[in-house]
This record gives sequence, C-alpha cells and structure tokens, in this order.
Amino acid sequence: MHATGLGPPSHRSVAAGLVGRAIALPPLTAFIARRVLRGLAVLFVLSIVAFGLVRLLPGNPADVLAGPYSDAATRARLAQDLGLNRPLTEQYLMWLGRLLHGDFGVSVYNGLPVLQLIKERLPNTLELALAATVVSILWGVPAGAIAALRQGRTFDRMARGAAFLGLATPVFVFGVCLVLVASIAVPSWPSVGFVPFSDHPVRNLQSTVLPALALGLPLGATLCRFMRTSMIEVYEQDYLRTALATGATRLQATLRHGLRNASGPVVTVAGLQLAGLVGNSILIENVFAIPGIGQLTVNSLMQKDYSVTQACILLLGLVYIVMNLVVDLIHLLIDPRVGGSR
Amino acid sequence: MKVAAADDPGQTQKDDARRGEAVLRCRDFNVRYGTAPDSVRAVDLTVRAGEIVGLIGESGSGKTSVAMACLGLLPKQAHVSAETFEVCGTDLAAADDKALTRLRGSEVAMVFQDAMGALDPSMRVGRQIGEVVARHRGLKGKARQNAVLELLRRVRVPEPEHRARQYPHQLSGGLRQRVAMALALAGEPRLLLADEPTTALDVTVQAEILRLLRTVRDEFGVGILLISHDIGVIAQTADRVAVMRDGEIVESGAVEDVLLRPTSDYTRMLLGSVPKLGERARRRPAEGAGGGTDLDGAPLFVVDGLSRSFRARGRVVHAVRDVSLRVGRGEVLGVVGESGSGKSTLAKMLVRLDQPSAGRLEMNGADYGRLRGKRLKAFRRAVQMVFQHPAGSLNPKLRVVTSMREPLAAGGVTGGEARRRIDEVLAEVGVPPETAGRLPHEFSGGQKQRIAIARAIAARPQVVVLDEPTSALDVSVQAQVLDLLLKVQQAEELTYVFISHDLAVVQAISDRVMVMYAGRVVEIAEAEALFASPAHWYTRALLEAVPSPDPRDRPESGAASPPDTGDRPEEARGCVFAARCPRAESRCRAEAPELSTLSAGHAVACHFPADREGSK
Repeated sequence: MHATGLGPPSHRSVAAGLVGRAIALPPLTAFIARRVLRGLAVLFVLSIVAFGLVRLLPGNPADVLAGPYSDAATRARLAQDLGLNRPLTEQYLMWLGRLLHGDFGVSVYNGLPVLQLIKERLPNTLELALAATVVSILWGVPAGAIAALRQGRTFDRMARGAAFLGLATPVFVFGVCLVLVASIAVPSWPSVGFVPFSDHPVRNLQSTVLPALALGLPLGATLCRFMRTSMIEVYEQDYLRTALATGATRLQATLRHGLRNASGPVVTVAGLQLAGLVGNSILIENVFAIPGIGQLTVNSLMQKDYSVTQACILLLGLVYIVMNLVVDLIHLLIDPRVGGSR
Repeated sequence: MKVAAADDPGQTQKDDARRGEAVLRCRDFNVRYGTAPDSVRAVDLTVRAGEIVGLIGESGSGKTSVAMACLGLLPKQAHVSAETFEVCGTDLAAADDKALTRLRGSEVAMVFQDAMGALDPSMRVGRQIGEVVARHRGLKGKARQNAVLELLRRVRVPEPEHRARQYPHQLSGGLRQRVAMALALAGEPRLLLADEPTTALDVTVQAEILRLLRTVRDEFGVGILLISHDIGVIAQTADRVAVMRDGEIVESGAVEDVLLRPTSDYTRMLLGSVPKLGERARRRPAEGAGGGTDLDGAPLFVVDGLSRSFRARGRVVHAVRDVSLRVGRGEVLGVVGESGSGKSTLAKMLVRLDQPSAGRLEMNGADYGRLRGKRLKAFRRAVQMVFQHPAGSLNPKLRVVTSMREPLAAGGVTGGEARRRIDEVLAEVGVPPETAGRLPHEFSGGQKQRIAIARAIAARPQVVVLDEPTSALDVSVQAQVLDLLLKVQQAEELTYVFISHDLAVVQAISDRVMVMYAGRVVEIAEAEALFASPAHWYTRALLEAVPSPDPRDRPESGAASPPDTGDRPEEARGCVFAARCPRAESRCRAEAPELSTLSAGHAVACHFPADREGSK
C-alpha cells in the first residue's frame, strides 16, 4: 500500500486536452473527504477480518476463563453467558452495533473496559513511536543526504556501513546492548522501568530515551538508504545541472533544489515506519518493560480475549490509515504537482 | 579534414559591425574520457558577442561535451586539453573551482533541451529566476522582483506577474523554455549555450523559440552557441555554422556557405538525408489499383465516432474526440499533430492496447472492440506496433532472437521454423542474422529500430502501427529507416498507420495524411493535396512553422505572434483551434465545425477553409 494515491501528475494530458471540471469542491477538501471515506471502508473490511481471525484461532475465552481443570458443563455455561454459541453473523452485528456506539466491550480476562485498557497504553506507545521516528529522521536523513553529496568518499562508505549494520541487527539485541552500555556509562540513568508521563514528566522523558534510541537508530538505517538513493537520483536531474550552470555551488544547489525534491520517498517510508512502530514495538516494550499496545495485543491474543484483540487490530488499522493521510498531506506541501494545485 | 574557417578574416569583416569581441575562443581543443580515445579532437571554435553559431552534429559527435566544457561541468573523469580555451577572457583550462563557479551564470549560461527537467519542479518559476538574479546582481526584495518580471517580459512571457507565481508543470512547453531562457539570462551572461533547446517542442512552438533566440541575440547582445541535430533549426537561426562529426569539426563558415555550398562529403550527406517538405522523390511509383488509397474497395480499418476520455481527479480530459476514419488495404496513413493532440491515444486504441470510451472499431468488417480470448489473439497477430524508442521497447536482458521469438510463438511458430523466419526478417531489415544472439545494447539506435521493425513484421501481420518510429534517430539513420519501412511495406504488402509530429517525414511516406488537433481530426487528405493546398488554418500553421534547411527561407522580419500559452478552452463550444486561428470569427467560437468534404478525398473541419490556391 503506497501512500501516494494521487500519483505523479499527468500534466501532459492535462495541458493537452480540453479540460472540464466535474466536481466543484475545493481540491484539498475533496481530496481529504475521499481519503476519509476510503479509510472508513478499509476499517469496515478490517473489522470483518479481525472478527473472523480471532475466532479462527484454536480455543475461546470460555476455555480460558474456566481454566484447565473445569468440566464441560461449566465451559458450556460460560460460553452461553458470553454469547459465544450464537450464530457468527449475529455476534458480529452485535459487536459492530456496540462499536458504533463507542462501546468496545469488556476484557473477559480482567473485566476492565477495552477502551480504558487502550487509553492507558496508547500514549506510551505513541510517545515511543514518535520519539523513535524523530531519532531515525535526525540521523537517517542528514546521513543519507551527506552520503549522497560525498558519494564514494569516506563518509558515504561509513554511512552505508552503519546503515547495513542497523538493518542487520535485531531490535532487541540492539536494545539490550544499549541498556548495558548506558548502565555502565551513566549508572544513575533509569535504563529499565517505565514511568508514565502523567506520573512524572521528567522521569518519563528520561525513561523514553533508551527505548527510542533502540528503535530509532536501526530504523534510521532505512531512511538513510532511501535518502541517499533519492538524492543521487536528484543529482542526475537537469534542474540541479541548471542550478550549477547558473553559478550555484554544489552545496547551495543541494540545499535549495535537492533536499525538498528528494524527500518524497523518505516521507512515505518514515510515515509508514511510524505506523508500523505502533504495532511492532512489542519486543522493545518487553526489553524496557513499557506497558504499551504491543504488549496488550499479544497478551489478549494468548488469553483469547476477543474484544481486546479485535479493538487492537482496528486501532492498528486506524493508525495506518491516519499516517497514510498525513503522508499524503505532507506530499501536497512538498510537491506542488501533487493534488492538482492550480 | 579540418577547415579553419571558423574565424576566417574574410568572413569576419563582412559584418564586423554587429559582432563584438569573442566570448568563446577555443583552438586545438580536446576532451578525453578516461583512457578512451579523444571524444572531442582538435576543435577550433569562436563565438562572438551578438552572433549565433550553430553546431550541427549527430548523436555522439561530441557537441554536448563542447558545451559542458565551456561551463566547466564535464564529469570528473573527463580530461580537457587545448592550446586556447577561453570563455569571456577567462582561461578555463587553468581556472579553479571558485573561478568556474563565479563564471557560471554571470559570464556563461546554458539552456537545456528539456525545460521541464531543467526547472526545479517544486519551486515557483519567479523564485528560481530570482535566486539567480540575487546571486549575480545582488538584488533584493522589490528590486529583485522587478528584475525577474523584466526578464520574463523580455523573453516574451505574457502576464509575467501571474506566470512568475506558477510552478513549471503549470506552464506549457513553450513557456517553460522561455522561463528557462530567462533563468539563463538572469545573471547577464555574455555567452549562452543552447543545447537542443527546441528538440522537445512542437514545431509551431519551436518556431517561436527560434525567433526568441534571435531576439535575445540582438537585445541582450550575447553570443549564442546553438547546438542542434536539426539542420532546419540551424539554417533558420544561426549566423555561422560548424559541422561536427565523431569529435571533429569537419566544416565551418557562414551559414549560407556551409548549407548551400558544402565542401565536405559528410555535410553533403547530412543535407541529402533531410526529408524536405514539398519533395516526394522517395515515394514509390503509384501501383495500379492495389496501391494508394483504395477507398473504393472494402477498407481494412473502419473507425467510427471513436472517443477516449480520461478522468483525472474530478476532471474529464478528452484525449480523442469523435474520430472517424477508414484505412484502405495496403495504404500508408500518416497521422500528424502536436504533443497532446491525441495521436498516440488513437494508435493505442487502433491496436486495442486501450479501450475507447465510445465508438466502434472494425477490421475486415468485424467489430474488434470487444474481442476476447482466441479471436483477440488472432487480432494481435494481425496488428503490430513499432514504438519511438527502440531501446525501451526491446527488453535489455533478452537476446534479440529471444525477443523476436515472442510474436512468433504467439502465433504457434516455434523452434527451427521460427529461427528461419527470424533470420529472414533480420536479413530483410538489414541486420546480419548471425548477430541475433546478441543483447540489444550491442546495437546502435538505428539497428535497434531495425530489429523492432523486424520483430513487428516477423509474424506476418496485416497492419503495422508506427508511433514516431524515426523521431529518436539521427537524420542520416532516419532516412535509411524510412526507406526500409517503405521497402518492407511493399514486400510484405502491409498497411501502415504512421504517426509523427514531423511533417516532412510523414510526407515522405504517406499516401494520405490526417491532421489532429486537441483530440479531433481537423483535416484529412491525400498527401500531395494536403501539402500542396492545406485547407485548415492549423495545417497551414504547422507547415509554415517547419524550419527549412535552406537559410535563404529565413523570415527576416519576425512578426511575433503571441506565444502559445498552452491554455486550451476548458470545454470549447466552438472550433478547438479558434483561439490560435488567424481567421477565426465569432461563428468559430460559437459553433464547432464538422468535418466536411472539400473535394474528393479531402475533408476539413473549418468554417472558413483557406484558399485552395495556397495564397494567404
């Protein structure tokens, strides 16, 4: 799923022919409206997939609740209470109906509302994902750009080596290494153990640094590669040659005409990485003991906690949809050819 | 053979008054890439302020290397040596990076072929020009803005205030090239290098830009080095000419001397290869009832009311509108039009690579618009296509013989039988069959196009649709490929639909010619009738815009018509050409003309067709 649904403009065909306008909405509003509608459709399909998926897995909440030593009658009664033996379509429609009223159900495992479980964990995960993305952009983008500027020289080789290392190292190995290094170098730093932002903001930020580095440094490797490739492509473009031919130095040309034009693919990758982090940060959440969405999803899956799993899957889908929209809006800002600006 | 007439004293005196000091002087100038033999050898070239020097050469002749060397922008592995190599008094051979950067833009600037690519796509054009103005003239704020608008005005960009705020993709091709010119002139250079500045443009726009080049020469007093493969462009624009071949200058002198009284064989060959309007020597003799326009017999193709529209973000773009035509068996139908006229979309629909939005397509009396499965396969065998870029249409990773087996295999011909046919067609197009085991990159551009043609005819089709088949080739190669196409057409009894923007090429090969504008057919006639007495004003504009390879045809007084801004009427009620038409009246803007017959075989969509006598 590529984020630029708008694609490159077909200015030739537009300039060419007779152009009639069918929709009167301002392009941006129409664009966003279309995107939101499409996102809702995706969520609807995803709800069916999520609902079906959790029920395809072996075992059900009644078994888990009743425990391993329960008898068949207890399990049957529990299943009856939970409504598990009704027709699947009826169960799905009931769930969907409650969803539309904002009721995500209750966890069968600990009796807490699903919404509350998510509310407790989502900020932690989002904070971590954002911080990791910032880290990855901070090193990946400049390193990629400089590597392209000094293609084939020492910096380029070092950046490419670092990027390769970052891609090849599993995240949790990297995390454990970081914890070890940090606890030796700065023993007073809170290396493990997470403090929610609402409890103690400063400690929270301190405790986010290491996991953000552990996640963000390897991710930056991908950005570095994309930025380097994209910049090298831009260097081959005529407009950079034009800038040089009108007396710009290589650095000036890069700063004024290079970076912005090279950033398109990088924005796409960074946006999807951020969305991916929300779902995939389970390893780092475990290493650093952070109560996040990743943990919640995996635990609920193992506990056959249907309503929690379903809500988590929908949430992850929503994050992807939102990030895609954000990426597209940034593309609108970067590239005037996108979105039919007049 | 080196002719050192570049600044022969006799020539120089003639119009010394207009000429200023030399802004480019090179003597015994060589460029070498790595350890390869010199790609530019012993070049003597002088450009003076206020003159246009044309540099003619085919691809690979080293003409772009000369230009890039003048900017000091050759790749690192290039090695330059020269007895003299001065740009505006600076010795480039000795200049360091700093001196070169200072020189670029302020003394020497360049206009590239592809203005779309040469402008930063994500920056408003006014700002791009402003950046150069600021760099070289140190202007800021309002003064800078005024300088930008002044430049745009001087390169004849209409509504400069509005255009300065637009992005490159919002401008038409011609306006983009004007903006690129303004950008190059922003630092007030004394030497302007123009590398194929009109090659990517439509012929009517090309004429405007060439006129602008002459204006710039006179108004700005710059010396212009105009690089082109197109002899017509040079003939109509340059004051002096140098002909380059394989890195050497084989002939140079005043434009009339070189082009009218060439002394080298190469120049003579080059001039002989240029297809000229009004000459139809190359056409085969008319052959009885079978050849030519066989409109009385059952036509091969019948196209009725064909339209194709695209939906692009809430807008509907009509690429082809209500096109009807017949193509006779064994006929060559030429289709002419500028970019965006819908000719390629029409071609795609003819071979069913694209589905029409409306209309009917018939071949041999059967509707093929909805064919599927086996019948579609049989149709595909009968109709083949040749594209503009042979390099792009041959898979670079497949050996030629493998690529050529594909159309044959689709028709059930395989193994030794296929190989025999491949050898046969390769020999027919003049490619040695022994070389069939090679990869495409081992062949030259012309040979690749020969192979593409061989592939198209291998499965014995009835029709070949050729989309700009010679546009990417050098003139001398183009002439050979055109000859080959005619020979093959007769030998294999083929029907051609030949699409090109180049009128002279179309004239050289077609029986009938159809002119398209904005998705519509505006005129269709026998080739001879069309070129002798064009009835539609657009056809006339096209014909007049073709630069003649004879420098004496130069229109000295450039009656500058307003440049084509590329703005097309959104939903034209009337004639699509009305906005650009010299003859347009209110009726033209209100009512769209129907295609109506003028005389047998000559139809035109115009309320006021031009005089049949060809007078204005």
